[in-house]
Parts: sequence; C-alpha cells; structure tokens
Amino acid sequence: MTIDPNEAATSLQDIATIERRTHEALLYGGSSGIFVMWGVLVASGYGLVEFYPRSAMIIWLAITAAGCAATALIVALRRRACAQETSDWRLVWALAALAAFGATWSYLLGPIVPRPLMYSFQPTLYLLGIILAGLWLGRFFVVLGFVGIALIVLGHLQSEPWLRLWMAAVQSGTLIVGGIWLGRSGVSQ
Amino acid sequence: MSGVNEVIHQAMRLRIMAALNAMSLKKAAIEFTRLKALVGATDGNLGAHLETLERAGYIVIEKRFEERKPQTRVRMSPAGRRAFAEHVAYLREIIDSAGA
Repeated sequence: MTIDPNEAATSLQDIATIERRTHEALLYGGSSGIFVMWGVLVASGYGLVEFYPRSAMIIWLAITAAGCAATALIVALRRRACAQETSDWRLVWALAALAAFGATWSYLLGPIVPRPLMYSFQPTLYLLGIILAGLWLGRFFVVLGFVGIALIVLGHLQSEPWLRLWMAAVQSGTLIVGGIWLGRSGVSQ
Repeated sequence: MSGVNEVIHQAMRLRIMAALNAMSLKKAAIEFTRLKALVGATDGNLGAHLETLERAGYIVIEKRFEERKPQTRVRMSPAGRRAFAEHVAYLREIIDSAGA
C-alpha cells in the first residue's frame, strides 16, 4: 500500500480536525465544574444579600474572591495533571481582570446609577468575557453568553421585588444549566 | 522512510487514534459514546474498529459498571501512541518529499 501526497495531506487535515474537536470537548468537560460552582456562588450571593442587604458590597466582594480563588485552584489542579495545557492561566487572569474592572466600576457607579441597572452590570460584563473567550475556545461559550445577556436584559421588564428574583434565577441558572450542558457534551479525563 | 501502518491509516481508525492521542493525560480514557460523537461513527462501526485497534495492541478497552449501567472506556496504549506518532511522521515525510 502506498500513499500519495494528496491522501497524506487529507489524513493530516483529518487528524487536525479531530484534535481540535477533542481539545474543545476536553475544555467543555473541564469548564463544567467551574460554571456550576459560579452558579451556586451567585445564587448564594443573592440569598445572603436578601437577608443582609446592608452588607451587599462585602458579600459580593467575598463571593467574587471565593469564586476566583476556587477557579484558580481547579485550574492549578488540572494543570498539575495535564502538563501540556497552557492556555488555562490566561483565562484565569482574564477573569480576574474582568472581576477587578467590574468591582471597581460597581464601587464608583453604585451611588449614582439606579440599583436595578447595577444588578446587570457585572453579570453582563462577565458574560461578555465568556462570549469573547468563546471566539477562541468554542461556540458554546458564545451561545451561553448571548442567552445569559438576553435573559438579563429581559429582566428589566420586571419591577422589584420580581426583578431581583429574576436576576438571581437567570444569573445562577444560566451558569448551572450551562455547566451541566458543558459536562454532558464535553469529555472528562 | 518507514512504511505505511495499514491498521492506523484506515480513515475511521485514524480519527479514533487522533482523538485518543489528543487526550492530555497519558492514561486518560474516553467513554465509548463520547468517542463515537467525536469521530462521527455509528455504534457497530466504532465497535469493529476498536476491536481491530485492540488486537493490534494500540488501545485498551475497559468495561465496567457505573451506577449499575455498563460503561465502555477506551484508552491508548504506549505502543499505540508510538505507532500513531510514527504514522504522522510518515505522512509528513510523504508531503515533504513531494514538495522537495
């Protein structure tokens, strides 16, 4: 059996396609837990703020810090297991930059901007980050980001107290359902 | 230039080996249904090609029960990893020698 150059090129192209698909599935599988964790954290944040409204800023800062630390830990553990994965840290740094940007502007704009708009600012900022990351990582992240932003914008048709409930359900729900879907369509090692 | 590996070169088996080789952990196993989706195979087709690869010693098939459901997991053996790397090198050599 002999292989001509065209056939060899087609085979190499086929290999590259499957490798890209497998890396995407591995990334989906690996991100699943991170998304579910953020969903649970966001739901806890809304729950705690409901009971301690005066400590809202501290609660959200603590939630963001806990989420970033847990994400960094998950990525570090994964990197230890898979020495050749290199892109994860850049994602964590991007997430940390977005969190710092969102927290700073929330602090500065909080006293001026109407509260209902502040419910949407940070979540839509993170979802925008997910959309942008999705342009490189996989189309599911783009879809998840757009669905999340659309649901958040739709929430502004409601008024208090339904608005807060809507935001809590939509923001945590998008992350949890998205995370579960990632786990189902991805591959874990 | 080493010769063509006919076990690996078949289109579906090449895809299976590419998917298993792309797993970042050396001993990582992938579930049958996930592998089927990745390479675009049918149940019967994938099963037959996996058997061929297993007979050649390139993959290891593990069968176990998870939550009372039978689960088949597939992983690449060190021999399979070596053979795949050699086959890819062979394909590149063909292209390089054609371009020279």
